[in-house]
Amino acid sequence: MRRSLFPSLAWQNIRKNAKFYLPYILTIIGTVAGFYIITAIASDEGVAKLRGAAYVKLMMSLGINIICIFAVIFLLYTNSFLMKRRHKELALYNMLGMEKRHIAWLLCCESLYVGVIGIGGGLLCGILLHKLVTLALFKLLRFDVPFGFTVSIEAIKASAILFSIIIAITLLFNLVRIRKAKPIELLKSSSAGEKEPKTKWLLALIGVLSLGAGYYIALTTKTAIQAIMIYFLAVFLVIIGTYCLFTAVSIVVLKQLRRNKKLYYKTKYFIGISGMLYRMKQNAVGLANICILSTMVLVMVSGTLSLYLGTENMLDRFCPGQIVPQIAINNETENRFQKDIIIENIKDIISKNNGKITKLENYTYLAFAAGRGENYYHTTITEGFNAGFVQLCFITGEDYAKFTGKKVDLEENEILFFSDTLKDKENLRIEAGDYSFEFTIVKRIESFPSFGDITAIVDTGYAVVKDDEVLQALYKGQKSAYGEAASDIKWVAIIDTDLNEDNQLKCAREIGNLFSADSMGVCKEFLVNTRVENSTDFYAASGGFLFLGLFLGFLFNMATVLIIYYKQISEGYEDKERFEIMQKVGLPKKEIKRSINMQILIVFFAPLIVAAIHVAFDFRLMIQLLSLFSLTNNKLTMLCTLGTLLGFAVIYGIVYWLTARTYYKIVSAE
Amino acid sequence: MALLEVRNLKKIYTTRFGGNHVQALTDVSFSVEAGEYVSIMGESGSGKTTLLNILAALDKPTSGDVLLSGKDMTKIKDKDISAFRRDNIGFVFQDFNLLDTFSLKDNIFLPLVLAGKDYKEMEQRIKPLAEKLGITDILKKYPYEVSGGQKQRAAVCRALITNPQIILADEPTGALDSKSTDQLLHLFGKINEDGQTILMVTHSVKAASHAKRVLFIKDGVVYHQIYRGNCSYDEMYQKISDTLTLLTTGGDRNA
Repeated sequence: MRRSLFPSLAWQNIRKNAKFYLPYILTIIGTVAGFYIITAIASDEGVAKLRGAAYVKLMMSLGINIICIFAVIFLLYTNSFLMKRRHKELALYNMLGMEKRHIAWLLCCESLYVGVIGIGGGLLCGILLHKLVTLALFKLLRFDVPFGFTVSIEAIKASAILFSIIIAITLLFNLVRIRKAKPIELLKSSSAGEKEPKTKWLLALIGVLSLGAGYYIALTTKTAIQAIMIYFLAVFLVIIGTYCLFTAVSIVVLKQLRRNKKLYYKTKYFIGISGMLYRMKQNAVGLANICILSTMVLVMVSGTLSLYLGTENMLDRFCPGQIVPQIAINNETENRFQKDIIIENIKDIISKNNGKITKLENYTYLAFAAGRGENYYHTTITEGFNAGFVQLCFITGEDYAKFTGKKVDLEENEILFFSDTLKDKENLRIEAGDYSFEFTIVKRIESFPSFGDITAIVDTGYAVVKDDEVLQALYKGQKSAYGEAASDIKWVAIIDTDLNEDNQLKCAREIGNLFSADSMGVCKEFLVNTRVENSTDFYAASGGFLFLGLFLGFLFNMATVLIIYYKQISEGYEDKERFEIMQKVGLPKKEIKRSINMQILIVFFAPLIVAAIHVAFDFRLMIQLLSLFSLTNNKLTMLCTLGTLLGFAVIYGIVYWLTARTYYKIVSAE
Repeated sequence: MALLEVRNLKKIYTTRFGGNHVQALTDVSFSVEAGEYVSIMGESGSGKTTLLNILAALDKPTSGDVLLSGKDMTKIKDKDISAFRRDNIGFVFQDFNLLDTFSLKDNIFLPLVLAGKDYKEMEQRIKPLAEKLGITDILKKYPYEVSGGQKQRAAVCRALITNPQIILADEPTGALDSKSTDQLLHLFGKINEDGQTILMVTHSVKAASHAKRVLFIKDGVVYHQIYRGNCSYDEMYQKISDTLTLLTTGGDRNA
């Protein structure tokens, strides 16, 4: 056989099979472009010089890894779909006298074309879109936008190599498949799998259990630290559950329905139930994939969106003023910490810089970890924190009054207590080293002002005590137990001024100098947070997250679209035959259309609905995880989730509508 | 009155871009009495399939009438045609046309379900039929699990279960081996003896030889017909063969 025949034959094959090849090539182009852009941003030297670039780099390298894995899995998947559709054609070549090695040559040529078009087109798109995406990213990060148009040779190389390898792997798969197959099997394989699906009770049971377990976990985690630890377990369980749900549970349910003769032999359900049974068998895995991808998109986009939109909220908690100095007080010296002197000094610094203080608040608190005992808390590490540990926070009545404007009058052994998670009602007993405390809870309060850098990643109790003396006593208690690891009493000030950003930073530096020059030795450690710097960091981080979320969301969405498209086509070819038979047996055309329409709707919207349910259950977990980032605006998170869900459903609907037209064209073709 | 009456049927196909007209049926007239077993024979291109499609109301004639029990099928409205077909005509196809998503039993039930019949009634109807056709044991199986002959018997069962006025069979033995063919033809004979009217289109001499009457179509007209009378299958076979030879060699109609 002449070698020169293959290139032109291969080219013809691709053109003739454009219905299958075009989306495949478009996917390669999209993935390559995505990979190029994200690699180019990660390796951009201009970005590296900016403050917060470390976050961006981290996000981008995370993104690179995810796209890598995604590209391999996804391209292999679509390729296998393509090959299944083409078995007959290849078998025919084989029967007509092409040897297997000729077919192999043909496939090599095809892969070469696909690779060149896909990678070339992808890089072109990537280079063109790079600037646009960078602009969008910088806007999100609140960076200044640099000028110029750059092409990253490094990124081009990386993308070309990676995708050449992936396409080579798919080719290898195809060659192995051709090598193994007999022509007769190839001819038949697209009509294989007509068998009725078996009822897999065990798998169905596993599915229900793991889905239930996943949901149970999501509903019962109380704290963020728990949420982190079991998040991936929950995700894992839900993924398994989803696969089983679509493959086994659906079939069990449908078969049970079929057993109900009265119901089954009704015109409305007869064709529907058996049709669904057949469809679920063919499409279960694909639908589960769509469902999981959709869930990922939803969780990713809504999570990162809430994070980004909640950045101000996080900043407010983390850095509630323009300048927020913090001091860990040294209680080991003779000298008492005197906040009034420090406040005076800070006021001096501000006024020396021609500024006026518009707000100045300050408070003192102590927070330490304690083991959970029976009806009490202890600081004995040797006992181990077997029953878990909690965080206890204390502030003075004076400071509490400043925050809330409510005057409190407490005795030495009395406290006000607040906690979402701790159940203590009457009293709070703490065995701290050589000291023992027994507080009477005068009142359990409904809410507590947020303060300091305390986040409730573990069960936390907040208590208002009488005064500094009690705070000191508590400090000594836990110090005697924990030694070096003990917590310090912290003093925090929140300062707002009328200064501009540069001068705010200048003042913050001077306050820092003041603390480090501390001659009395009362200042053990200190930190001066500024809103300006924190804002840059926060937006760099949350903007990076959002960018990654949107970017990957876009890619996963593309994958979803492609799977739906391929499913529609394959459904179409199979339904065509059934459609004709039913017509001959006496089912009116309209009825058939309605029935098939119904089935297709159920098949394609089931993943979306299940994904929405997953997201609903995930919501609590997400809120807890977001609280780690000091994001506590649940209403915002709810709105972001709903918005994302709505947006996604609209896109999904449009995609369905577009691909359904292809489906109808195939089915009603004469 | 005859059960099926075909009068001056004419069908002209026009190619998509106008221009060429192809005359598939020129002038076909014949009638089938209740309880008859009629075969229609003809070469490829003689208009057999066109005729059957019109009889099945799958296609409309250019002119002429088809009357089933006195009702003109060519005048039935599109939306009623499916129901009419379902209630009055049973089909047996060359390639069975069983749905692979249904078990044989459900395939057989399909027309009844479409007609909204009660499940109990379906069960009552299928029992004697399945027994007669010898498929009682395989009802639960799926089309891909059984042989061609069994599939065709299931298809016959599906055609019979609605108690149709007439069975239309399109090359029913075309996809069967000789043993299954014999079985099926034997069954057709038995069904006919029980009073079922059968109209079969075929170009298999053997299949046609089982009918009580054979019509020959050539160039879009009914060219000739043979009655079996008291002939045995073999004599009938011979008669049909002779006629076909005559037809192909272009013999005179009245020979």
